[in-house]
Amino acid sequence: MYSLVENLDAVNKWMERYGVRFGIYKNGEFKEQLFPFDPIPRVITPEEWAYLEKGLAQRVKALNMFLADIYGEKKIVQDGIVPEAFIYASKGYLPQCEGIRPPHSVFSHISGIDLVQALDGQWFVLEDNLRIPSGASYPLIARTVTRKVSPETFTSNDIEDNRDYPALLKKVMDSMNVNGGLNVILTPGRYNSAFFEHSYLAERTDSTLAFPGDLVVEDGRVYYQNFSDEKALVGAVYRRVSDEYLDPMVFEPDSLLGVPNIMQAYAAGNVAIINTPGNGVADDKGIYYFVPKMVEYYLGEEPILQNAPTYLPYYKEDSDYVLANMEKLVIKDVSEAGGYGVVFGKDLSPEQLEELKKLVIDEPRRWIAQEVIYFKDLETMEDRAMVYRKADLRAFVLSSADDTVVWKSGLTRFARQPDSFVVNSSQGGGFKDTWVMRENPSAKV
Amino acid sequence: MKRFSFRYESSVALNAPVTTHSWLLRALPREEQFQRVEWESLRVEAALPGGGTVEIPVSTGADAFGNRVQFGAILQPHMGMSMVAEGRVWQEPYRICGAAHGMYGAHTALTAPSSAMLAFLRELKLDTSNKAELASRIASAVHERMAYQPGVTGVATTAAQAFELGRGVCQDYAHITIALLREAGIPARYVCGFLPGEGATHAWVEWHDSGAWLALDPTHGRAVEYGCIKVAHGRDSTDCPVNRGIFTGRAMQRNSVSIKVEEQ
Repeated sequence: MYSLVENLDAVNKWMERYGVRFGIYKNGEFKEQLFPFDPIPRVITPEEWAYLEKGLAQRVKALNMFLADIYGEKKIVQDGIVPEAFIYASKGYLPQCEGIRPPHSVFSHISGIDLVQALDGQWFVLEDNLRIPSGASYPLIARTVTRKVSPETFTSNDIEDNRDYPALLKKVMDSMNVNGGLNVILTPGRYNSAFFEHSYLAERTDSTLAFPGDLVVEDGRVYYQNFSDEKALVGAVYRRVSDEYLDPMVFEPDSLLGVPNIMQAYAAGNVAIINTPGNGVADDKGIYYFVPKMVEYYLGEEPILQNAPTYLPYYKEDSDYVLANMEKLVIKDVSEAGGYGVVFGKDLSPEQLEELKKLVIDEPRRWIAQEVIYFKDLETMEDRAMVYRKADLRAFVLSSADDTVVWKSGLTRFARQPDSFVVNSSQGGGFKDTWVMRENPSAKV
Repeated sequence: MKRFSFRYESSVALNAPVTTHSWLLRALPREEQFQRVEWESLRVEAALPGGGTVEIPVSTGADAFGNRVQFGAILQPHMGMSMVAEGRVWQEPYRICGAAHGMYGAHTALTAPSSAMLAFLRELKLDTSNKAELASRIASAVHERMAYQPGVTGVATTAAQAFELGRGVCQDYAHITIALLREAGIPARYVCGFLPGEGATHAWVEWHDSGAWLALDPTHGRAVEYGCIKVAHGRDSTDCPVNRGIFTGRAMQRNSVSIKVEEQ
């Protein structure tokens, strides 16, 4: 690991060559910047990983069952576990998806579960991302680069190889593919913040990278047509275009990023869409509260992973607590994503606290409140010096027809400011590789 | 039981050739308990740049609201497109038995009521025990309050904006009525269809009580009568447009629609 620190310049040069970039919007302007990489990895022990792996697979299975239920029978609502108000008023609930049963009933094929580790070592899930979560390519490339720069690091340590991500992703696409046609990765284009990842994954999974306009629906099927007049049948679309832009015939009518009538092809079973549209109803910040209950309800098991202690002002008891303790809580607007709309009570002036309390009273459904988790700082290099920074972990869980697999790595994002808790890349954070250590020390890479 | 014939004719004329023209129609009647299709046909044609037309294959399916959809794409260069849907339906008195899906109780971006609308609803001082009375009073209050005027609102106009304006067309009347019904605890949905006689598409409202959907026409301030042919429904107008299309190319388009419904 220390040879990596010494070779940081070489690592960074390679990263630049690979074009490891992340686009952000700042003051309305699009800027593409290098995603800052820190050479000191997050290290997860075999015991910790065994626990996380089991808990993550369990959680994602329950979330997939929840999505099948919500767009189907809605038993969890009828049985009073999740109030109706949290479904139909949710921005993530898309009635246009009612009754559609995707291939093998998998809705969230690629799930990004954000976790943090508290000071005492306890892990907490902060957020589920079931709408085409991004970021897997960064640790993947970081590993490729660091192996190149310091091969001995990986021969002298028992680190799980993470370079199987494209193979796992390809397996998902192949198992969902409905007709043996092309696997396609649909990108909104090169100005998307994750374009780098789209093109990288297409190349590594042997998929066709499609731009808006390359896909067309004819006779109820999806075809890829590029410069030639030849049309190729498409069997699975891993689309990195968000739901609202996916099909201008059904969603945002002005969208030029989508594929007109793809929803008809999908509803008829003529194409798989990865991840399925409408998944936002299950990763809504308000629905998060109910995920442990889903695990019990659908699987009849005790939830292995814990949520951060969360309060829903929707419930009277929780509302009272939130209003009385707002200064020590973190308040989140359920309609915002990516670190936006997150407010720490301790940072607010008395006037601002009163203002926020009023908003919570007026629109209780819009907010959740959580206890602040003081998470473990990770060692990070800053200008050649070792400093400690807050970090989270996005674990990737891949669901195919017959199994749910947790990728033995993940994206560790850290805050660049010493006192910041916000690690999102859209807020200027950096990233680290995540090393999952092997059980058996005799098994060398 | 009564029998009606319908004919929906729509065309897009372009001043330059375009390609990759995708379209989605909801131009054929829904099969409902009160409405049965006796026969129907749909023909879609593209106008070729050199003159002449070519028939375009039509795919059929259903959307998540249970509406029938007809869709396809014209990939070759063309100067226009025409669609003719026609047929005959049998109708009984308007009533659809069944449960109300929870989505019809929740507001959408187009039907979220403004505070002025909420005040308007309070001032009606409605008796909430009689749902039928409540629904019909809301629809007639909207009819009284609004003035019918085409051209002042558009497809993206919200119920709140149209209410503020005090003017609009059937879509606006329907959105405002739906907003107030939902606010009063009555599930409501937007219906798109054809009116007896000649004209354009029309919008009305279905509301739910005691296991059945019934209809009101706030634009005309009355119940929905025989000969109103139901084509589609949804939470609001964006869920069930009769005709949506998108093409690649630089061209100005001119659209025309004509609809005719007659008792047989």
